[in-house]
Amino acid sequence: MKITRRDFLKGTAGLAAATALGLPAKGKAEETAKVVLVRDQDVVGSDGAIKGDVLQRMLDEGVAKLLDRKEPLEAWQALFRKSDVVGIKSNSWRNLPTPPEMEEAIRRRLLDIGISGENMAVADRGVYSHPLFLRATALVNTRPVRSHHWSGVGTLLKNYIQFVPSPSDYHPNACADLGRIWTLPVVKGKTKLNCLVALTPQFYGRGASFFDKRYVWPYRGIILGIDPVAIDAVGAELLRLKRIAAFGEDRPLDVEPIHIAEADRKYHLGISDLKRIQIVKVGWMEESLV
Amino acid sequence: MLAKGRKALFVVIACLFLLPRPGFAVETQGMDGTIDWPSDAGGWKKTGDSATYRGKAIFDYIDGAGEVFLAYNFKELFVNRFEREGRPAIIAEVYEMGTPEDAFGVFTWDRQDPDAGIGQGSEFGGGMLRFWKGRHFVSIYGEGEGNEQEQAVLEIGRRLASSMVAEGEPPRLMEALPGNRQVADSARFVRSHVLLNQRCFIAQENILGLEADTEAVFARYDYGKPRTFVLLVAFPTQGKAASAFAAFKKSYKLDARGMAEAQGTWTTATTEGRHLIIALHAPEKGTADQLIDAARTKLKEER
Repeated sequence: MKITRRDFLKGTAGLAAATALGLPAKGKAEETAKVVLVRDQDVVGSDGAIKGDVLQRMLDEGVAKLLDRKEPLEAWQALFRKSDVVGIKSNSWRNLPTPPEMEEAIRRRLLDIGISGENMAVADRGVYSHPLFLRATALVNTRPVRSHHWSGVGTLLKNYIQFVPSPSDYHPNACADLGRIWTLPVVKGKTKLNCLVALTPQFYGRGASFFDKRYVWPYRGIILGIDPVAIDAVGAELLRLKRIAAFGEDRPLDVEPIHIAEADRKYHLGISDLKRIQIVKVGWMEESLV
Repeated sequence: MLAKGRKALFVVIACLFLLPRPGFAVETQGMDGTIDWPSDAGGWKKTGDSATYRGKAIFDYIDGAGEVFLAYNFKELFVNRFEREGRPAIIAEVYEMGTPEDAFGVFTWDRQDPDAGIGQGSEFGGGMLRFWKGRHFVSIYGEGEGNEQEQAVLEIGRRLASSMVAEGEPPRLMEALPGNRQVADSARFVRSHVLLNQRCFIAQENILGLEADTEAVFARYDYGKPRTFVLLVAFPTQGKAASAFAAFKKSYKLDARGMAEAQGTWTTATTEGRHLIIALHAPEKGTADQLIDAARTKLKEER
Protein backbone atom coordinates (compact mmCIF):
# COMPACT_ATOMS: atom_id res chain seq x y z
CA MET A 1 0.00 0.00 0.00
CA LYS A 2 1.25 3.43 -0.92
CA ILE A 3 1.35 5.76 2.06
CA THR A 4 0.86 9.41 1.22
CA ARG A 5 2.12 12.44 3.10
CA ARG A 6 -1.52 13.34 3.74
CA ASP A 7 -2.03 9.99 5.43
CA PHE A 8 0.81 10.76 7.75
CA LEU A 9 -0.36 14.22 8.59
CA LYS A 10 -3.82 12.85 9.33
CA GLY A 11 -2.12 10.56 11.78
CA THR A 12 -3.48 7.38 10.19
CA ALA A 13 -0.08 5.87 9.63
CA GLY A 14 1.19 6.46 13.11
CA LEU A 15 3.99 8.33 14.75
CA ALA A 16 6.70 5.73 14.36
CA ALA A 17 6.14 5.30 10.64
CA ALA A 18 6.10 9.04 10.10
CA THR A 19 9.37 9.44 11.90
CA ALA A 20 10.83 6.66 9.79
CA LEU A 21 10.00 8.65 6.67
CA GLY A 22 11.63 11.76 8.04
CA LEU A 23 8.40 13.72 8.12
CA PRO A 24 7.56 15.85 11.12
CA ALA A 25 5.63 13.34 13.16
CA LYS A 26 2.48 14.72 14.71
CA GLY A 27 0.70 13.22 17.66
CA LYS A 28 0.69 13.45 21.40
CA ALA A 29 4.44 13.18 21.59
CA GLU A 30 6.54 16.18 20.57
CA GLU A 31 7.04 16.36 16.82
CA THR A 32 10.37 15.07 15.52
CA ALA A 33 12.09 14.86 12.17
CA LYS A 34 14.68 12.51 10.77
CA VAL A 35 17.57 13.40 8.51
CA VAL A 36 20.34 11.17 7.25
CA LEU A 37 23.94 12.31 7.04
CA VAL A 38 26.08 10.18 4.72
CA ARG A 39 29.81 10.75 4.38
CA ASP A 40 32.53 8.98 2.44
CA GLN A 41 36.21 9.87 2.55
CA ASP A 42 36.69 8.88 -1.09
CA VAL A 43 33.90 10.89 -2.70
CA VAL A 44 36.12 13.92 -3.35
CA GLY A 45 39.55 13.23 -4.81
CA SER A 46 42.72 15.12 -3.90
CA ASP A 47 42.26 17.07 -7.14
CA GLY A 48 38.76 18.11 -6.09
CA ALA A 49 37.07 15.82 -8.60
CA ILE A 50 33.87 14.15 -7.43
CA LYS A 51 33.66 10.41 -7.87
CA GLY A 52 30.26 9.61 -9.31
CA ASP A 53 30.21 5.96 -8.30
CA VAL A 54 30.96 6.77 -4.68
CA LEU A 55 28.34 9.50 -4.64
CA GLN A 56 25.78 7.09 -6.13
CA ARG A 57 26.50 4.65 -3.32
CA MET A 58 26.13 7.39 -0.71
CA LEU A 59 22.79 8.42 -2.15
CA ASP A 60 21.59 4.81 -2.21
CA GLU A 61 22.63 4.20 1.39
CA GLY A 62 21.09 7.45 2.52
CA VAL A 63 17.71 6.96 0.86
CA ALA A 64 17.50 3.37 2.11
CA LYS A 65 18.34 4.48 5.64
CA LEU A 66 15.87 7.36 5.45
CA LEU A 67 13.00 5.00 4.68
CA ASP A 68 14.35 2.06 6.67
CA ARG A 69 14.52 -0.22 3.60
CA LYS A 70 17.14 -2.81 2.89
CA GLU A 71 17.27 -2.15 -0.82
CA PRO A 72 17.66 1.39 -2.16
CA LEU A 73 15.23 0.79 -5.03
CA GLU A 74 12.51 -0.19 -2.55
CA ALA A 75 13.00 3.15 -0.89
CA TRP A 76 12.82 5.05 -4.19
CA GLN A 77 9.66 3.11 -5.07
CA ALA A 78 8.10 4.16 -1.80
CA LEU A 79 8.73 7.79 -2.68
CA PHE A 80 7.78 7.88 -6.36
CA ARG A 81 5.26 6.30 -8.73
CA LYS A 82 6.18 5.11 -12.20
CA SER A 83 3.70 7.58 -13.60
CA ASP A 84 5.27 10.55 -11.83
CA VAL A 85 6.57 13.52 -13.77
CA VAL A 86 9.66 14.50 -11.81
CA GLY A 87 11.43 17.84 -11.74
CA ILE A 88 14.91 17.72 -10.24
CA LYS A 89 15.51 21.20 -8.90
CA SER A 90 19.22 21.72 -9.08
CA ASN A 91 21.44 24.75 -8.52
CA SER A 92 23.65 26.11 -11.27
CA TRP A 93 25.60 28.78 -9.37
CA ARG A 94 28.86 28.74 -11.27
CA ASN A 95 31.22 28.70 -8.29
CA LEU A 96 29.59 25.90 -6.35
CA PRO A 97 26.84 24.22 -8.36
CA THR A 98 24.99 21.03 -7.64
CA PRO A 99 27.51 18.50 -8.94
CA PRO A 100 26.44 16.89 -12.23
CA GLU A 101 27.30 13.59 -10.57
CA MET A 102 24.56 14.25 -8.00
CA GLU A 103 22.01 15.08 -10.69
CA GLU A 104 22.95 11.95 -12.59
CA ALA A 105 22.76 9.73 -9.50
CA ILE A 106 19.19 10.90 -8.86
CA ARG A 107 18.19 10.55 -12.52
CA ARG A 108 19.58 7.04 -12.67
CA ARG A 109 17.53 5.81 -9.73
CA LEU A 110 14.36 7.43 -11.07
CA LEU A 111 14.95 5.62 -14.36
CA ASP A 112 15.65 2.40 -12.45
CA ILE A 113 12.23 2.45 -10.83
CA GLY A 114 10.56 2.87 -14.20
CA ILE A 115 10.02 6.60 -14.57
CA SER A 116 10.36 7.57 -18.19
CA GLY A 117 13.28 9.78 -19.17
CA GLU A 118 10.78 11.96 -21.00
CA ASN A 119 9.01 12.56 -17.71
CA MET A 120 11.93 14.01 -15.84
CA ALA A 121 14.06 17.11 -16.14
CA VAL A 122 16.92 18.75 -14.28
CA ALA A 123 16.82 22.55 -14.12
CA ASP A 124 17.50 25.61 -12.01
CA ARG A 125 16.88 29.02 -13.56
CA GLY A 126 13.58 29.36 -15.34
CA VAL A 127 11.86 26.48 -13.55
CA TYR A 128 8.84 28.70 -12.88
CA SER A 129 8.05 28.56 -16.60
CA HIS A 130 9.67 25.22 -17.45
CA PRO A 131 7.09 23.03 -19.26
CA LEU A 132 7.99 19.85 -17.40
CA PHE A 133 8.23 21.51 -13.99
CA LEU A 134 4.83 23.09 -14.57
CA ARG A 135 3.25 19.65 -15.01
CA ALA A 136 5.46 17.89 -12.44
CA THR A 137 3.75 15.61 -9.97
CA ALA A 138 6.90 15.16 -7.90
CA LEU A 139 10.05 17.16 -7.17
CA VAL A 140 13.54 16.32 -5.96
CA ASN A 141 15.36 19.27 -4.43
CA THR A 142 19.16 19.26 -4.37
CA ARG A 143 21.81 21.93 -3.93
CA PRO A 144 25.10 22.58 -2.10
CA VAL A 145 25.05 24.20 1.32
CA ARG A 146 26.99 27.46 1.61
CA SER A 147 27.00 30.89 3.17
CA HIS A 148 24.80 33.33 1.31
CA HIS A 149 24.68 37.12 1.16
CA TRP A 150 20.90 37.47 1.19
CA SER A 151 19.72 34.52 3.23
CA GLY A 152 22.72 33.84 5.50
CA VAL A 153 22.87 30.24 4.32
CA GLY A 154 22.09 28.89 0.86
CA THR A 155 19.60 26.20 1.77
CA LEU A 156 17.07 23.80 0.28
CA LEU A 157 14.36 26.28 1.21
CA LYS A 158 16.26 28.97 -0.67
CA ASN A 159 16.69 26.72 -3.69
CA TYR A 160 13.02 27.17 -4.64
CA ILE A 161 13.43 30.91 -5.14
CA GLN A 162 13.64 30.22 -8.87
CA PHE A 163 10.01 29.10 -8.81
CA VAL A 164 8.96 32.76 -8.73
CA PRO A 165 9.44 35.15 -11.65
CA SER A 166 11.11 37.84 -9.53
CA PRO A 167 13.40 36.13 -6.99
CA SER A 168 14.79 39.41 -5.67
CA ASP A 169 11.36 40.17 -4.19
CA TYR A 170 12.29 37.65 -1.51
CA HIS A 171 15.65 39.22 -0.61
CA PRO A 172 14.50 41.78 1.99
CA ASN A 173 14.69 40.95 5.68
CA ALA A 174 17.21 38.14 5.19
CA CYS A 175 14.84 36.26 2.86
CA ALA A 176 12.61 35.56 5.88
CA ASP A 177 9.64 34.64 3.70
CA LEU A 178 11.23 32.00 1.50
CA GLY A 179 8.83 29.51 3.06
CA ARG A 180 5.95 31.21 1.27
CA ILE A 181 7.29 29.93 -2.06
CA TRP A 182 6.75 26.38 -0.82
CA THR A 183 3.04 27.12 -0.49
CA LEU A 184 2.64 28.06 -4.17
CA PRO A 185 0.73 25.54 -6.32
CA VAL A 186 3.74 24.86 -8.56
CA VAL A 187 5.60 23.22 -5.66
CA LYS A 188 3.18 22.72 -2.78
CA GLY A 189 3.28 19.16 -1.47
CA LYS A 190 5.30 17.86 -4.42
CA THR A 191 8.77 17.54 -2.92
CA LYS A 192 9.42 13.87 -2.25
CA LEU A 193 13.11 14.05 -1.49
CA ASN A 194 15.51 16.76 -0.36
CA CYS A 195 19.26 16.37 -0.64
CA LEU A 196 21.60 19.03 0.70
CA VAL A 197 25.03 18.54 -0.84
CA ALA A 198 27.81 19.03 1.68
CA LEU A 199 30.71 17.63 -0.34
CA THR A 200 32.62 20.93 -0.32
CA PRO A 201 30.52 23.44 1.65
CA GLN A 202 31.40 27.11 2.07
CA PHE A 203 31.10 28.12 5.71
CA TYR A 204 31.76 31.83 5.52
CA GLY A 205 31.76 34.71 3.09
CA ARG A 206 30.67 38.31 2.95
CA GLY A 207 29.10 40.66 0.47
CA ALA A 208 28.38 40.31 -3.21
CA SER A 209 31.49 38.21 -3.86
CA PHE A 210 29.81 35.18 -2.35
CA PHE A 211 32.48 32.68 -3.24
CA ASP A 212 35.74 32.53 -1.33
CA LYS A 213 37.76 29.36 -1.57
CA ARG A 214 39.46 30.09 1.76
CA TYR A 215 36.20 29.11 3.40
CA VAL A 216 35.44 25.99 1.40
CA TRP A 217 36.35 22.63 2.92
CA PRO A 218 36.01 19.01 1.81
CA TYR A 219 33.38 17.74 4.22
CA ARG A 220 32.50 14.91 1.86
CA GLY A 221 28.89 14.52 2.92
CA ILE A 222 25.28 14.70 1.82
CA ILE A 223 22.29 15.35 4.08
CA LEU A 224 19.04 13.70 3.05
CA GLY A 225 15.49 13.79 4.21
CA ILE A 226 11.89 14.62 3.50
CA ASP A 227 11.65 17.64 5.79
CA PRO A 228 13.56 20.53 4.14
CA VAL A 229 13.48 22.66 7.28
CA ALA A 230 15.12 19.97 9.40
CA ILE A 231 17.85 19.35 6.81
CA ASP A 232 18.50 23.08 6.45
CA ALA A 233 18.69 23.48 10.22
CA VAL A 234 21.35 20.77 10.31
CA GLY A 235 23.18 22.31 7.34
CA ALA A 236 23.21 25.77 8.93
CA GLU A 237 24.45 24.28 12.19
CA LEU A 238 27.22 22.47 10.32
CA LEU A 239 28.45 25.79 8.85
CA ARG A 240 28.17 27.51 12.22
CA LEU A 241 30.24 24.84 13.94
CA LYS A 242 32.82 24.99 11.17
CA ARG A 243 33.09 28.79 11.62
CA ILE A 244 33.73 28.27 15.31
CA ALA A 245 36.34 25.62 14.53
CA ALA A 246 38.07 27.82 11.96
CA PHE A 247 37.84 31.25 13.63
CA GLY A 248 37.53 30.33 17.29
CA GLU A 249 34.19 32.16 17.33
CA ASP A 250 30.89 32.20 15.47
CA ARG A 251 31.88 35.02 13.16
CA PRO A 252 28.65 36.71 11.99
CA LEU A 253 27.42 36.17 8.46
CA ASP A 254 25.97 39.05 6.44
CA VAL A 255 22.58 38.06 7.83
CA GLU A 256 21.33 35.35 10.14
CA PRO A 257 19.57 32.47 8.33
CA ILE A 258 16.25 33.32 9.96
CA HIS A 259 14.28 31.93 7.03
CA ILE A 260 14.76 28.41 8.40
CA ALA A 261 12.99 29.10 11.68
CA GLU A 262 10.40 31.19 9.85
CA ALA A 263 9.63 28.27 7.52
CA ASP A 264 8.84 26.29 10.65
CA ARG A 265 7.06 28.94 12.74
CA LYS A 266 5.15 30.80 10.05
CA TYR A 267 4.73 28.33 7.20
CA HIS A 268 4.75 25.02 9.11
CA LEU A 269 6.99 23.36 6.54
CA GLY A 270 8.98 21.31 9.01
CA ILE A 271 11.04 21.32 12.17
CA SER A 272 13.87 23.76 12.79
CA ASP A 273 14.60 22.92 16.44
CA LEU A 274 17.79 20.88 16.44
CA LYS A 275 16.77 19.17 19.66
CA ARG A 276 13.86 17.60 17.79
CA ILE A 277 15.83 16.47 14.76
CA GLN A 278 17.23 12.96 14.72
CA ILE A 279 20.44 12.78 12.68
CA VAL A 280 21.08 9.26 11.46
CA LYS A 281 24.73 8.89 10.47
CA VAL A 282 26.03 6.60 7.76
CA GLY A 283 29.66 6.03 6.81
CA TRP A 284 32.87 7.87 7.67
CA MET A 285 32.28 10.35 10.50
CA GLU A 286 35.67 11.87 11.29
CA GLU A 287 35.22 15.57 12.19
CA SER A 288 31.55 15.32 11.32
CA LEU A 289 30.84 18.32 13.61
CA VAL A 290 27.10 17.63 13.81
CA MET B 1 42.58 57.44 -58.02
CA LEU B 2 43.04 60.14 -55.40
CA ALA B 3 40.04 58.84 -53.49
CA LYS B 4 41.50 55.31 -53.52
CA GLY B 5 44.84 56.66 -52.20
CA ARG B 6 43.15 58.51 -49.37
CA LYS B 7 41.19 55.40 -48.49
CA ALA B 8 44.37 53.31 -48.39
CA LEU B 9 46.09 55.92 -46.21
CA PHE B 10 43.13 55.89 -43.81
CA VAL B 11 43.31 52.10 -43.55
CA VAL B 12 47.05 52.22 -42.81
CA ILE B 13 46.57 54.88 -40.10
CA ALA B 14 43.67 52.97 -38.60
CA CYS B 15 45.77 49.79 -38.51
CA LEU B 16 48.61 51.67 -36.79
CA PHE B 17 46.19 52.72 -34.04
CA LEU B 18 45.08 49.14 -33.61
CA LEU B 19 48.60 47.74 -33.26
CA PRO B 20 49.62 46.56 -29.79
CA ARG B 21 51.64 49.02 -27.73
CA PRO B 22 55.28 48.14 -27.05
CA GLY B 23 55.98 46.28 -23.82
CA PHE B 24 52.90 44.11 -23.67
CA ALA B 25 50.10 43.17 -25.98
CA VAL B 26 46.78 44.88 -25.42
CA GLU B 27 43.45 45.14 -27.10
CA THR B 28 40.87 47.84 -26.76
CA GLN B 29 37.58 46.74 -25.33
CA GLY B 30 34.21 48.49 -25.65
CA MET B 31 32.94 50.22 -22.54
CA ASP B 32 34.01 53.86 -22.47
CA GLY B 33 36.94 53.19 -24.77
CA THR B 34 39.52 53.54 -22.03
CA ILE B 35 39.87 49.94 -20.91
CA ASP B 36 42.75 47.95 -22.31
CA TRP B 37 42.60 44.26 -21.51
CA PRO B 38 46.03 42.65 -21.22
CA SER B 39 46.32 39.71 -23.57
CA ASP B 40 48.47 37.80 -21.11
CA ALA B 41 49.99 37.91 -17.62
CA GLY B 42 52.48 35.54 -16.02
CA GLY B 43 51.84 32.88 -18.66
CA TRP B 44 48.03 33.08 -18.49
CA LYS B 45 46.57 34.13 -21.85
CA LYS B 46 43.25 35.80 -22.42
CA THR B 47 40.87 33.55 -24.31
CA GLY B 48 38.26 34.93 -26.69
CA ASP B 49 36.28 38.13 -26.41
CA SER B 50 34.67 39.61 -23.36
CA ALA B 51 31.37 38.18 -22.27
CA THR B 52 29.10 41.14 -21.57
CA TYR B 53 26.05 41.47 -19.36
CA ARG B 54 23.97 44.63 -19.40
CA GLY B 55 21.45 45.71 -16.77
CA LYS B 56 19.40 42.87 -15.31
CA ALA B 57 21.22 40.35 -17.48
CA ILE B 58 23.76 40.38 -14.64
CA PHE B 59 21.51 37.77 -12.98
CA ASP B 60 22.50 35.37 -15.76
CA TYR B 61 26.09 35.63 -14.56
CA ILE B 62 25.92 35.89 -10.78
CA ASP B 63 22.36 35.02 -9.82
CA GLY B 64 21.07 36.87 -6.78
CA ALA B 65 24.37 38.64 -6.15
CA GLY B 66 23.43 40.82 -9.11
CA GLU B 67 20.98 42.60 -6.84
CA VAL B 68 23.87 44.16 -4.93
CA PHE B 69 25.31 45.67 -8.11
CA LEU B 70 21.91 46.83 -9.37
CA ALA B 71 21.50 48.65 -6.07
CA TYR B 72 24.54 50.71 -7.09
CA ASN B 73 23.28 51.73 -10.54
CA PHE B 74 25.07 48.91 -12.37
CA LYS B 75 25.37 49.44 -16.13
CA GLU B 76 27.43 46.69 -17.72
CA LEU B 77 29.75 43.82 -16.87
CA PHE B 78 32.68 42.59 -18.95
CA VAL B 79 34.16 39.18 -18.14
CA ASN B 80 37.33 37.66 -19.50
CA ARG B 81 38.97 34.34 -18.88
CA PHE B 82 42.75 33.79 -18.79
CA GLU B 83 44.11 30.28 -19.26
CA ARG B 84 47.45 28.55 -18.95
CA GLU B 85 48.02 24.95 -19.84
CA GLY B 86 47.81 22.63 -16.88
CA ARG B 87 46.79 25.42 -14.51
CA PRO B 88 43.41 26.61 -13.22
CA ALA B 89 41.96 29.63 -15.02
CA ILE B 90 41.83 33.26 -13.91
CA ILE B 91 38.56 35.16 -14.25
CA ALA B 92 38.55 38.95 -14.54
CA GLU B 93 35.35 40.97 -14.19
CA VAL B 94 35.04 44.69 -14.87
CA TYR B 95 31.77 46.25 -13.70
CA GLU B 96 30.78 49.62 -15.09
CA MET B 97 28.74 51.41 -12.45
CA GLY B 98 26.61 54.54 -12.71
CA THR B 99 29.03 56.88 -10.92
CA PRO B 100 32.37 56.70 -9.10
CA GLU B 101 30.37 56.88 -5.87
CA ASP B 102 28.58 53.68 -6.91
CA ALA B 103 31.88 51.94 -7.71
CA PHE B 104 33.21 53.03 -4.31
CA GLY B 105 29.99 51.83 -2.68
CA VAL B 106 30.03 48.34 -4.12
CA PHE B 107 33.73 47.98 -3.29
CA THR B 108 33.41 49.08 0.34
CA TRP B 109 30.26 47.05 0.90
CA ASP B 110 32.28 43.86 0.99
CA ARG B 111 35.73 44.91 2.23
CA GLN B 112 37.63 42.47 4.44
CA ASP B 113 41.20 41.95 3.21
CA PRO B 114 44.46 43.98 3.14
CA ASP B 115 45.03 46.74 0.59
CA ALA B 116 46.86 45.76 -2.61
CA GLY B 117 47.69 49.32 -3.69
CA ILE B 118 45.79 49.05 -6.97
CA GLY B 119 43.24 51.54 -8.30
CA GLN B 120 41.66 54.01 -5.90
CA GLY B 121 41.00 51.40 -3.25
CA SER B 122 41.70 47.69 -3.27
CA GLU B 123 41.96 44.49 -1.30
CA PHE B 124 43.59 41.16 -1.97
CA GLY B 125 42.96 37.90 -0.15
CA GLY B 126 42.29 34.25 -0.89
CA GLY B 127 43.57 34.72 -4.42
CA MET B 128 40.96 37.39 -5.15
CA LEU B 129 41.74 41.01 -6.05
CA ARG B 130 39.01 43.64 -5.80
CA PHE B 131 39.46 47.32 -6.56
CA TRP B 132 37.60 50.41 -7.75
CA LYS B 133 38.71 53.24 -9.97
CA GLY B 134 36.47 55.91 -11.47
CA ARG B 135 33.17 54.33 -12.43
CA HIS B 136 34.69 50.85 -12.45
CA PHE B 137 34.63 48.08 -9.91
CA VAL B 138 36.94 45.17 -10.72
CA SER B 139 37.11 41.63 -9.35
CA ILE B 140 39.82 39.18 -10.44
CA TYR B 141 40.33 35.71 -9.03
CA GLY B 142 42.13 32.50 -9.80
CA GLU B 143 40.28 29.22 -9.75
CA GLY B 144 43.34 27.56 -8.23
CA GLU B 145 46.00 28.52 -5.74
CA GLY B 146 49.69 29.38 -5.58
CA ASN B 147 52.02 32.33 -5.77
CA GLU B 148 52.38 32.30 -9.56
CA GLN B 149 48.65 32.61 -10.05
CA GLU B 150 48.36 35.29 -7.38
CA GLN B 151 51.06 37.35 -9.11
CA ALA B 152 49.24 36.97 -12.42
CA VAL B 153 45.99 38.12 -10.82
CA LEU B 154 47.73 41.21 -9.44
CA GLU B 155 49.42 41.89 -12.78
CA ILE B 156 46.11 41.79 -14.65
CA GLY B 157 44.68 44.12 -12.04
CA ARG B 158 47.53 46.63 -12.31
CA ARG B 159 47.26 46.74 -16.09
CA LEU B 160 43.50 47.18 -16.04
CA ALA B 161 43.78 49.93 -13.43
CA SER B 162 46.46 51.78 -15.37
CA SER B 163 44.27 51.74 -18.48
CA MET B 164 41.38 53.35 -16.61
CA VAL B 165 42.20 57.00 -17.11
CA ALA B 166 39.32 58.66 -15.28
CA GLU B 167 39.28 58.71 -11.51
CA GLY B 168 36.45 59.67 -9.17
CA GLU B 169 35.76 60.62 -5.59
CA PRO B 170 34.04 58.72 -2.79
CA PRO B 171 30.69 60.24 -1.80
CA ARG B 172 31.30 63.64 -0.15
CA LEU B 173 28.60 62.76 2.34
CA MET B 174 31.02 60.30 3.98
CA GLU B 175 32.96 63.28 5.32
CA ALA B 176 29.94 64.43 7.29
CA LEU B 177 29.90 61.30 9.44
CA PRO B 178 31.22 62.15 12.92
CA GLY B 179 34.78 60.90 13.35
CA ASN B 180 34.90 60.51 17.10
CA ARG B 181 34.42 56.88 18.23
CA GLN B 182 33.65 55.76 14.66
CA VAL B 183 34.45 52.04 14.34
CA ALA B 184 37.21 51.47 11.76
CA ASP B 185 35.98 50.27 8.33
CA SER B 186 32.34 50.45 9.43
CA ALA B 187 31.36 53.37 7.15
CA ARG B 188 29.24 52.36 4.15
CA PHE B 189 27.51 54.08 1.26
CA VAL B 190 24.19 52.73 -0.05
CA ARG B 191 21.22 53.71 -2.14
CA SER B 192 19.05 50.69 -1.30
CA HIS B 193 17.04 50.17 1.88
CA VAL B 194 17.53 46.41 1.54
CA LEU B 195 21.29 46.82 1.72
CA LEU B 196 20.98 49.43 4.47
CA ASN B 197 18.94 46.99 6.55
CA GLN B 198 21.59 44.31 6.25
CA ARG B 199 24.12 46.39 8.19
CA CYS B 200 21.98 48.98 9.95
CA PHE B 201 18.36 47.92 10.32
CA ILE B 202 15.84 50.75 10.04
CA ALA B 203 12.51 49.15 9.12
CA GLN B 204 11.26 46.31 7.01
CA GLU B 205 9.51 48.74 4.67
CA ASN B 206 11.39 51.44 2.79
CA ILE B 207 10.11 54.17 5.12
CA LEU B 208 12.90 56.59 4.23
CA GLY B 209 12.17 56.31 0.52
CA LEU B 210 15.68 55.37 -0.58
CA GLU B 211 15.94 55.24 -4.36
CA ALA B 212 18.58 55.32 -7.07
CA ASP B 213 18.89 59.10 -6.74
CA THR B 214 19.31 59.17 -2.94
CA GLU B 215 22.61 58.77 -1.14
CA ALA B 216 22.87 57.27 2.31
CA VAL B 217 25.99 56.83 4.42
CA PHE B 218 26.27 55.29 7.83
CA ALA B 219 28.87 54.17 10.33
CA ARG B 220 28.90 52.35 13.65
CA TYR B 221 30.11 54.04 16.84
CA ASP B 222 31.83 52.39 19.75
CA TYR B 223 29.95 53.06 22.96
CA GLY B 224 30.29 49.58 24.41
CA LYS B 225 27.40 47.17 24.07
CA PRO B 226 24.74 49.07 22.09
CA ARG B 227 25.12 49.00 18.32
CA THR B 228 25.10 52.75 17.86
CA PHE B 229 24.87 54.11 14.30
CA VAL B 230 24.75 57.48 12.60
CA LEU B 231 22.88 57.50 9.29
CA LEU B 232 22.91 60.45 6.89
CA VAL B 233 20.66 60.53 3.85
CA ALA B 234 20.91 63.11 1.06
CA PHE B 235 17.64 63.51 -0.88
CA PRO B 236 17.21 65.30 -4.19
CA THR B 237 14.86 67.80 -2.54
CA GLN B 238 14.17 69.28 0.89
CA GLY B 239 10.57 68.06 0.60
CA LYS B 240 11.66 64.42 0.29
CA ALA B 241 13.91 64.82 3.34
CA ALA B 242 10.97 66.20 5.30
CA SER B 243 8.74 63.30 4.23
CA ALA B 244 11.37 60.77 5.25
CA PHE B 245 11.79 62.49 8.60
CA ALA B 246 8.03 62.38 9.18
CA ALA B 247 7.88 58.67 8.33
CA PHE B 248 10.82 57.89 10.60
CA LYS B 249 9.36 59.98 13.42
CA LYS B 250 6.08 58.07 13.18
CA SER B 251 7.69 54.65 12.92
CA TYR B 252 10.06 55.20 15.85
CA LYS B 253 7.51 57.20 17.86
CA LEU B 254 9.85 60.14 18.36
CA ASP B 255 8.64 62.77 20.83
CA ALA B 256 8.30 66.51 20.20
CA ARG B 257 12.08 66.87 20.58
CA GLY B 258 12.59 64.14 17.97
CA MET B 259 13.83 61.61 20.55
CA ALA B 260 12.74 58.10 21.53
CA GLU B 261 13.97 55.63 24.14
CA ALA B 262 13.74 51.87 23.63
CA GLN B 263 15.43 49.06 25.54
CA GLY B 264 17.78 51.47 27.26
CA THR B 265 19.05 53.19 24.10
CA TRP B 266 18.18 56.51 22.52
CA THR B 267 17.29 57.26 18.92
CA THR B 268 16.89 60.71 17.45
CA ALA B 269 16.58 62.37 14.05
CA THR B 270 16.47 65.76 12.42
CA THR B 271 16.75 67.38 9.03
CA GLU B 272 19.33 69.79 7.70
CA GLY B 273 18.29 71.18 4.33
CA ARG B 274 17.82 68.21 2.02
CA HIS B 275 19.57 65.91 4.47
CA LEU B 276 18.13 63.60 7.09
CA ILE B 277 20.33 62.85 10.10
CA ILE B 278 19.61 59.89 12.36
CA ALA B 279 21.44 58.67 15.47
CA LEU B 280 20.37 55.14 16.32
CA HIS B 281 20.65 53.28 19.62
CA ALA B 282 22.91 55.73 21.48
CA PRO B 283 23.59 54.72 25.09
CA GLU B 284 22.58 58.14 26.47
CA LYS B 285 20.24 60.89 25.44
CA GLY B 286 23.17 63.32 25.46
CA THR B 287 25.23 61.04 23.24
CA ALA B 288 22.46 60.92 20.63
CA ASP B 289 22.33 64.73 20.65
CA GLN B 290 26.12 64.99 20.34
CA LEU B 291 26.20 62.68 17.33
CA ILE B 292 23.44 64.62 15.59
CA ASP B 293 25.15 67.96 16.33
CA ALA B 294 28.51 66.69 15.06
CA ALA B 295 26.95 65.52 11.79
CA ARG B 296 24.96 68.71 11.35
CA THR B 297 28.05 70.87 11.90
CA LYS B 298 29.96 68.89 9.30
CA LEU B 299 27.11 69.14 6.82
CA LYS B 300 27.06 72.92 7.26
CA GLU B 301 30.83 73.08 6.74
CA GLU B 302 30.44 71.09 3.55
CA ARG B 303 27.95 73.54 2.09
